[in-house]
Amino acid sequence: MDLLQILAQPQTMGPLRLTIETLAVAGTLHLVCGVLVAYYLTSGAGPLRSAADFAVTLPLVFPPIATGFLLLMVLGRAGPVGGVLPFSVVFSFPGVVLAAFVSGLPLMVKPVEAALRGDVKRLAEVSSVLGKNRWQTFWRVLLPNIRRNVAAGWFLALGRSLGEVGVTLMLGGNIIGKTNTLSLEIYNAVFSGEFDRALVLSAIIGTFSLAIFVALKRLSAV
Amino acid sequence: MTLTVDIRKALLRFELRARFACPAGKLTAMVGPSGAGKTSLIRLIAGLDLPDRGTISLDGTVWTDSAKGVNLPVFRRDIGMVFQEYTLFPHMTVRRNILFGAPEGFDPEPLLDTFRIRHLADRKPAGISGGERQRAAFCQALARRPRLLLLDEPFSALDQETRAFLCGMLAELKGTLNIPILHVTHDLREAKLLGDDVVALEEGRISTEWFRRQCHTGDAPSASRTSTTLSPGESACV
Repeated sequence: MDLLQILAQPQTMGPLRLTIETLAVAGTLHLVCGVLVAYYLTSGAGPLRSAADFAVTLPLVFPPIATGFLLLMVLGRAGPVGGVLPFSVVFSFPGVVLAAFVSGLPLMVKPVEAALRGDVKRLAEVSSVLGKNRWQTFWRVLLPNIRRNVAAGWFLALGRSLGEVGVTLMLGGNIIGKTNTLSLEIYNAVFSGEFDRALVLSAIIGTFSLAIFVALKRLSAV
Repeated sequence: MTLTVDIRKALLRFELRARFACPAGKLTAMVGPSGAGKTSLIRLIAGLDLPDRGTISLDGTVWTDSAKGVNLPVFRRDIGMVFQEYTLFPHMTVRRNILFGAPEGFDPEPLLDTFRIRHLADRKPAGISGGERQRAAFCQALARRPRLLLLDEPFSALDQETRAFLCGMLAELKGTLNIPILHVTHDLREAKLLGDDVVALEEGRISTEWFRRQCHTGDAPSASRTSTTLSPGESACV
């Protein structure tokens, strides 16, 4: 079977489309929530901030499959949160997005948090002395001066979300034609002995990853 | 318009205790060795840090009163402040930096001319020298039309020429601005040259003793030549 035939197969195009849609939604969420969470973590201290920091950092150090299992317990139909939600999160597109979001979030938050704790703190003080409130300072001074860190964190988060398997498996369920992302489909292809297809899928993910790598290199070179 | 300060704040090595007043139209120079608490004090006045107790008020308006739980946010204090390091916003041109805190419709051109940086107005801070940046920082602080000017060792990293130029500007400005100016420096000569009143700070306390010691050890060669009225702990202090 040649490359074009494999690419045209619905079992290739479906996961590709799902992955792109997932990255689009999760990427937007990373950009908005990641920056806001980083700002929240750096704008004071207290037990609530420590708890938020712990929750955001957890997916970095906790095995993805275990993170996914915890989320499944909480968000499943019998779970404390999933039980009261009017729609089902698990084994659906929102579950796949949530998995991508949760796994990529720490990589978005940490670089931005580090940047906000750096030299820009002084600029924020100057801005407040010059009469700007916290939000004006955030939009007009902080954000423009940490934009490279934001972009770097965003690319890292996208890369992590793209390769996510463990959490997605638990929250999405790897349902063929519904929640099987590119990464999961590589596993499915290998499992069913379709090594050519696994190779093509890996090449597609590899191209995405290369683009992210190039973007990160360009950012660090600027 | 008078700035009145009576505060206490526990620092790492000592407790900062300051009680003094800065009248409008005068430059109060706060001098002392490194680590005496000068920058801590100026940050407390600006509202960037909170005192443990005490009051800060300007012209009867209370900015900080720990007993009553009053603490006016920094951005409402109408302060102009020039820091020791160059703190222009790197993503803005000099002109936009100056206009950042200025009231609506403010014309920056006269300030750019006065501080001789009109030719740099469209450049970003990274493209100008340290002395030029500090001149722009003065413009930025003054464009706000502040009711109080705080200067935290603004000349310490400057070359002799820029230092002399800005000292001259400051001496000129203090009369025309007619607001209290608090100038923190570790340079006694600079304090005596510029200050209408000089307050010495040592280990967090206002100290007339430190001042006398410095004058007698000859560390301040211009002391005998200056006509500035020196009143550490006297006229400047409440």
